[in-house]
Amino acid sequence: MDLLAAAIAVFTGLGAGIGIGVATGKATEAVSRQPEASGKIQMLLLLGAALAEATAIYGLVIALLILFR
Amino acid sequence: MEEVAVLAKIPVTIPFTQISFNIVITEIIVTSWIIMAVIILWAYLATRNMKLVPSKLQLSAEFIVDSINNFVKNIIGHKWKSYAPYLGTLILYLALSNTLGALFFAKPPTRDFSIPVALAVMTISIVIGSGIKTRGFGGFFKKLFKPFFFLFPINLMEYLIKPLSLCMRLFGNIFGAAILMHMLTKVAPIIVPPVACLYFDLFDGGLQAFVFFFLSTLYIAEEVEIEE
Repeated sequence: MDLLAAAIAVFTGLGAGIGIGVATGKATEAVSRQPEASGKIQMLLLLGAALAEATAIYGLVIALLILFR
Repeated sequence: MEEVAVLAKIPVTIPFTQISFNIVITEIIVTSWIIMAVIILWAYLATRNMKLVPSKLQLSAEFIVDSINNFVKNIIGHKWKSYAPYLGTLILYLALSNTLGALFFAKPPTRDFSIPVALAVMTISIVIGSGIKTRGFGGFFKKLFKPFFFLFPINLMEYLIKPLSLCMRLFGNIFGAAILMHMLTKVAPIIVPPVACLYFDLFDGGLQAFVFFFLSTLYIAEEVEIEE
């Protein structure tokens, strides 16, 4: 039962994947439109990806808490 | 997962009280000390006798310090000088400790929960301190009630969530990568692990070090800026 609960918790990775994918796609679009702003866009992309990834990490941490409590 | 090896236990008793506890020295603390020693040694050797025409070691130090300073200056603004040393130390320590697993087959110290927590607590103390320093005590608490009075609990909670998400992000990424590598070496022991190690330990570790540094800089910049 614990394993099932941990597996469900890891499903948060789905949202993070979609989020980072959308962000990267938009960033690519932005760079192709305005190549001279690529430095700033890269910064923003990194920040957004880090924030989006946090949800997946929360899922991982909760799964670990369930498994190793 | 294999446990972290305990190297020594030092019993401590606080004099005149009944309180006694053990200071536990684990493998991770020793690796952390080694990293600190390496950074201190490098900084000492690089700046020992500085010349106008720099040696290679001095050049490396100048390049790293200068790029960190420029980065922090771009984000924080004219008050960068008091925060750049802390942030620079943060990224140097994190970059070394996160990529340690790939370079020297040691366990990265950030895999233990205690070190990300300590770093996050340090960062949030500096964020709160810089807020108090720029606005004063009253101004800092007044800002908690902005823009509306009833947003006070949310603003207060932000100071709890910021360090929590910082330390969870770092710990989760490094620990998750360690678990994945552990599983991969069991499933496919031949060609796959070095390639995956390159991604998880070098790329992801470096990225997470940068993200921690970047977010700390942003949080400080948010506190330091004064609206008209």
